[in-house]
Amino acid sequence: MNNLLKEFTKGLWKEIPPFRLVLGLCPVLAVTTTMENGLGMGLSATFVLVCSNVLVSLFRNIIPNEVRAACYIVIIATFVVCVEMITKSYFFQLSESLGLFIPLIVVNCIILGRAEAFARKNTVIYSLADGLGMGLGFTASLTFLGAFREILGAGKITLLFGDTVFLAEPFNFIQQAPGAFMALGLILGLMNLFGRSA
Amino acid sequence: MAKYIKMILVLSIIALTSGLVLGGLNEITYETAQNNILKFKKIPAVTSIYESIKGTIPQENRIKVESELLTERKEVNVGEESPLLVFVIKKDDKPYAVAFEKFGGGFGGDLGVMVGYKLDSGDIAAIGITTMSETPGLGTLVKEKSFLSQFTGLSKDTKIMIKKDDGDIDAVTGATVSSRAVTQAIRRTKALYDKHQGTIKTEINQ
Repeated sequence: MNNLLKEFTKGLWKEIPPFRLVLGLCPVLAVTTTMENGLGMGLSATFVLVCSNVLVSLFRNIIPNEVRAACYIVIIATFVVCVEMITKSYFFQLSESLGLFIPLIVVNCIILGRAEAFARKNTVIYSLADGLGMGLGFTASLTFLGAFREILGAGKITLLFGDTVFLAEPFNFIQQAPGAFMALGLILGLMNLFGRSA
Repeated sequence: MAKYIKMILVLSIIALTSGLVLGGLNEITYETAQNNILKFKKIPAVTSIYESIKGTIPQENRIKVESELLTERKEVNVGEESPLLVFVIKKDDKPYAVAFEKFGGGFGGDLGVMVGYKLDSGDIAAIGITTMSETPGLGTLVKEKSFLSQFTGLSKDTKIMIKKDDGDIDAVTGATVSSRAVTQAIRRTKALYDKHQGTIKTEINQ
């Protein structure tokens, strides 16, 4: 039980994907212009990660070693297309703002990475905990980064406070692509500063 | 040998299952997804054309007008793969203009433009942008009124190209490709309308 909890919580802080492992940066940088986008992207990736982790782990003794990468990609791609269809039908506005980045979850290295590094060697229940932890860590990072960039770049957080404006003259720069690197770098630096002693 | 058979078998079974699952899910979600595009992309564009013909719609009437426009649509066969979806805009209970959508090649993929034609003169009534994935802050500016309004009431003899290409249209500064895509889409609707306006007119008067 303790081990299970450890597998779950490691993704939330110790190995939190974008900030600690610095993995999966493409969506992290590209879609975190607002908190809503960050949260939507995070949840989509979490769904794919959890499902693919469970399936890979379930079939880990059946899938031949030589074709495992191909099998994992097919499994992951299936769930990604599912997410794409579901967002297009039921969360249309979100699918509009995330656009191409939903199909690109297929090549998100966190997902293939967890399948290869964890799910294929561990039982289903552990893989589930690992996927859930990593996914939620990823979601939390994206949501936080999105909120950070939205409040500085647009002066408001639409998801939480509607149209209330906090900054009269926002730094639009932080919502653009170079601003994403700056924001990520700042957060990474702060986490290293305070995380090292802990 | 058995090893290879197993490899092929496992991968095939996984791929087959995946195909079946996705096919099933597509069957379930396809209609909702198409309806979303119709509702959130096409109808707002048609509504903006409607507004530039009949004036701004008061907020309380907007839903009613939108649902009316949604029902006033016809599928016209113009010899393409799928029938053309034509929206009819009425004035005094008679069809006054038709609107349909074509695509131009934008900076980030296809850019959809809904173009309204006046039935009597064949002039452009107005246009509206439906789908696009242009650069935020530059290409997306083609959605602004300042750019779109220059197409309102444009005579059918106007050369619909941007000034850089010896046409009559002012491009958005810094968004030449996107502006070009809009004119390209309009030229495609125009070619279609010129060729098939007879068919379209008979179809909508039924």
